[in-house]
Amino acid sequence: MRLLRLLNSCLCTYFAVFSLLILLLFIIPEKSLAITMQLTSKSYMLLQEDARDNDYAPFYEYYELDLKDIKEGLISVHSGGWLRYDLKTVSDEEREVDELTYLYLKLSPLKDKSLTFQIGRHYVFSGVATEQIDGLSGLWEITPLTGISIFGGLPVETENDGRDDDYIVGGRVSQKIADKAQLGLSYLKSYNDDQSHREEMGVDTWLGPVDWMELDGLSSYNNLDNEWMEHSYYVRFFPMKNLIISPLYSHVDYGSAFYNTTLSVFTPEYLGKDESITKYGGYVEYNITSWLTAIPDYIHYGYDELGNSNYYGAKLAFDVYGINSGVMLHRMAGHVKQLRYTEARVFAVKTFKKLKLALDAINLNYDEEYNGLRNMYNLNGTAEYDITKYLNLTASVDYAKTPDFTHKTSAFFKVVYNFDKTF
Amino acid sequence: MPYINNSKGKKLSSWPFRSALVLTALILIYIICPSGLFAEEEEIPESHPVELTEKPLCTDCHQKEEEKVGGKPFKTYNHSGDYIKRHQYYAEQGSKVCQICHKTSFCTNCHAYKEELMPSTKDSIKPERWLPHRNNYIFTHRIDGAIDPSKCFPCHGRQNNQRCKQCHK
Repeated sequence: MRLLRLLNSCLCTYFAVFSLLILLLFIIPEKSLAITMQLTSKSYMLLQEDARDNDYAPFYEYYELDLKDIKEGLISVHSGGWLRYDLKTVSDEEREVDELTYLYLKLSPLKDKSLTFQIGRHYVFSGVATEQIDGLSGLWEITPLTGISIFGGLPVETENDGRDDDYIVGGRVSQKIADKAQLGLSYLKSYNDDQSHREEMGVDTWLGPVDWMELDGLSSYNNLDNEWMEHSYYVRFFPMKNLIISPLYSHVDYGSAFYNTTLSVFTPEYLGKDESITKYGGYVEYNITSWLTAIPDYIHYGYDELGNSNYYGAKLAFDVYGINSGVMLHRMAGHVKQLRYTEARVFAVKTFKKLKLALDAINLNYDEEYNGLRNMYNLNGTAEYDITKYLNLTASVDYAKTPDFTHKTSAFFKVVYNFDKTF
Repeated sequence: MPYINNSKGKKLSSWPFRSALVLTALILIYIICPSGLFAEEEEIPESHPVELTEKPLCTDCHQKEEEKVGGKPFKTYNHSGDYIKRHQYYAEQGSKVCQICHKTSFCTNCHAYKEELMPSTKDSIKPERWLPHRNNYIFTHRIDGAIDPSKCFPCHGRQNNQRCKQCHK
């Protein structure tokens, strides 16, 4: 029943998409109608309790549907969504939830696919824009080195004030320079209830001037308060084949970056007026042998009001006797209570033909007590079994001890079914 | 519910002017880089010819330095230890290379606007991803939120925050 209701609501919104698809199917010659369909169903059952010992048993059904290779691969349709029905909740109001995550038609009118359009509900990744929209986006690679993308539509957001008179537009122009650099300039503007809500510009960069070094970065600017929102840069040096050194730098101005938030926790009243964070440090990744990798890291967090903190430690990843394992130990040394703790984690994964087992343990030890508790941990054990190439089962048990839950146990079951068919 | 503004107040900017600035910058870049007109076509395949089941190190197979994909060397895309921290940069510059291996559902497994199940719950069989949201996250989120709220904001700042509002009104 819920599935029918979900489909019904989707059909109303996306009638236009499928109308267009049907129209295209009529236009396409019959001999081009080879369609590959990939359908994945994922069913999840979670058994858990809350801090008041109320039991919950939410059942989730996820689907992913891809129709590809239509008209020699120039057209494809993609859709995904989920619904939840709680079998044992104390609140009937929140028993059912669903989401159409994406449903879009992808068109490539040119045979070299240098021009593509996406129509429907989809994600746009384009410089400053990482947005989910109901609308249209297009990418045109004018030459192999120059591209332009545009998008427009209704932003998909939590429906806290309705979606009337909401819209979003933007785009990005990009230029590659002889496989040594890529530069993008992007723009985004959105309206909420016909009022200017966001207006952002950004410069994204990739530089690889020499074989032993590359740089990724993004700077974004808030046009509404005329301040830089964020600078985020990540450099990688490759001095040896088995060694990567990655310094990083970022600065975020909370007031500009969290402009027009819908959540009080991101406002200056909560985070502090004129607060910002400057982060620098880096990672070293050293493949000591073919089965052992060490990743020491150090990050300095500098705040205007919260003081400074240093996060440092290391991860070790190793593969011995077919067991993929990891050990991690980190220390956060800050000025305030919540930034003084030691974090440890260990995991191991072993695969036996069709059976895969994973164990994972996390421990957090705080310098000062929270609700009378300094040491908290989370243990997880998971088993996955491949019944066939297309069907597998997973069972997982999780146990946690935190200041919020003296003891919290949850169980999780998952069934995944993949279906491929070419018509 | 009305939107909450920050203390800086709104100033409507002249966006047509700024758009013109972007276009001018593009033209300048293009003039500086005439090689764009004569560059060789690079074909990005629709899908990877061999199915990959584990996190790949692209350079295990693509070893030639001059080999590129999306204009970048293969080592850029090696899914090594810190890749999850860097993946945003590659998505921002166009997700065509990502789509060789990943379907949209791979992104929405974490980046969805109403998602309830934590990725670490759905994929607890893959602890090697070092995913942050564990079963104890109802407690540890206040720590992560204090350290760097800009990591929380993209997913919870304007969307997917109905649960947050149960406590953070």
